[in-house]
Amino acid sequence: MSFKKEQKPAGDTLPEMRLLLGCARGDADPGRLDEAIAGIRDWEAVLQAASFHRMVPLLYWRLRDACPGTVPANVTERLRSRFEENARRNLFWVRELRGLLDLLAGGGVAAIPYKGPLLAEMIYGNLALRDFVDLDILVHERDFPAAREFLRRHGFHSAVDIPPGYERAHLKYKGEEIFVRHDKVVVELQASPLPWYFALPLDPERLWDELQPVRFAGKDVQTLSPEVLLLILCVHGAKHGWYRLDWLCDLAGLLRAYPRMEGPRILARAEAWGAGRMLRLGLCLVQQLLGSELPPSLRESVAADRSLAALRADVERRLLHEPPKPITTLASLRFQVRALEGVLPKARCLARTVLMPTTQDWKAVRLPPAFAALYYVIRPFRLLREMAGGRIDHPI
Amino acid sequence: MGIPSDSDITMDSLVTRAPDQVSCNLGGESVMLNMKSGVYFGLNPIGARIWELLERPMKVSAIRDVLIREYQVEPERCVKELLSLLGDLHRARLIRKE
Repeated sequence: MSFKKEQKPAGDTLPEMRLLLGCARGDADPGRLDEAIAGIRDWEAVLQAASFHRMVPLLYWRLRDACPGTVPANVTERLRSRFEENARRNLFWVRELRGLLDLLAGGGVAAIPYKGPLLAEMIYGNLALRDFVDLDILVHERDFPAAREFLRRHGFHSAVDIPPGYERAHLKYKGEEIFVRHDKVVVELQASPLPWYFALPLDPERLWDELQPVRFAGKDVQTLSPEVLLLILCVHGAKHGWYRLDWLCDLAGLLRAYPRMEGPRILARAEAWGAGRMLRLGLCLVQQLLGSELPPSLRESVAADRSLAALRADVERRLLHEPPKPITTLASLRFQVRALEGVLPKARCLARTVLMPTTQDWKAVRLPPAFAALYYVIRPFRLLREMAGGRIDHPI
Repeated sequence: MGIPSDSDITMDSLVTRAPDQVSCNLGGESVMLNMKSGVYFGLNPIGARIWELLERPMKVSAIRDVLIREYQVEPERCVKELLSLLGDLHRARLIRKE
């Protein structure tokens, strides 16, 4: 497993990314958007990038007001069609989420929805402006088996092939399980919003003390507070090396929608979670790339962190200078380790990732639960073999 | 409960959005979904403006006045189209009478 830094020369921002950045910056810079539109020669590349970065709604929203003739009519029409299809799909998913929450509540399972359509309401006040692909629902760990059973009884099946007897181990490692239904509704049922292998000392039960009501689909729904959500978005982005622009849009949108968030409290929580650098990196990126205004204490904290420059350069290279593609597993692990502070957290993250068995191990070698301890030996050998064969590009 | 009839909505009716619906702004137009029936309903820009006004309870006559002022429509035609739309929304259980 190599942790050498890749040295690549910085390139120019791709024209399609210049346009998407202009859209993402909102109304702050209309001149920049016009300039970006004028620089587009390949609108197919724009559409592909917008799809990859889940920016079709925001792209359509900004381009519909562009000067006539600057955007080809067929491009606007394709965007409009996809925008409206996404809007209808989002309304359908809201309906399904409301139904699931009522179902779980009726069965005595407390559930907190967050991100997905709630985030669209919180940051845009318009369900049409966000492209999401699953419904995140957080439950107490003790309720997870019951919640899983409710979903199964209502047509959902696990998207992950977890051998019988390994459900607890999977939940411990990932903190979640993904369920899908025949009509393609996807639920990410979580006992923790952060994976255990990340080795951040977060107690998910504490999140239940900091909920806040949001008006959603005609009801008041309890969800994570903006301060907690801000930190979770930063950790999530760091987990994936910030390879998608819509994640930055979410963060910028949250800062814009909740300008009075208390910076000192956010900083204190970030330190308690061991996620200070991840927080500062996320804030640095939205500040530099999307022109976000930060509360003074957060702004000062970002300015004082000299370690961010290299991480930021890495993100910008991947986001802006290279054609869109997901980050590789190894690159993402390397980024996660660099985004952690201190030798112990880095070592813990690496150790847990390398040693803790996952579904990939259980699939590769089927052992009954009584022999589960053998996976701690099997896994490192399997990873080494896959690295040697150059096959380590998938989830490990 | 039976399906609401056209005559349920008059100029003196106080109307607002029903609780079991969700909607979004398509940039000039709107689309809403009745969460119980699963039926979608789309509105053109004037319909979307009416929908926006219905976020809070409003008398139908007050909605008429806003439309006449903002769109310079002929009053008789405005009333006819407004009552027709509100009747459709009421039947679809997307709005309710207070």
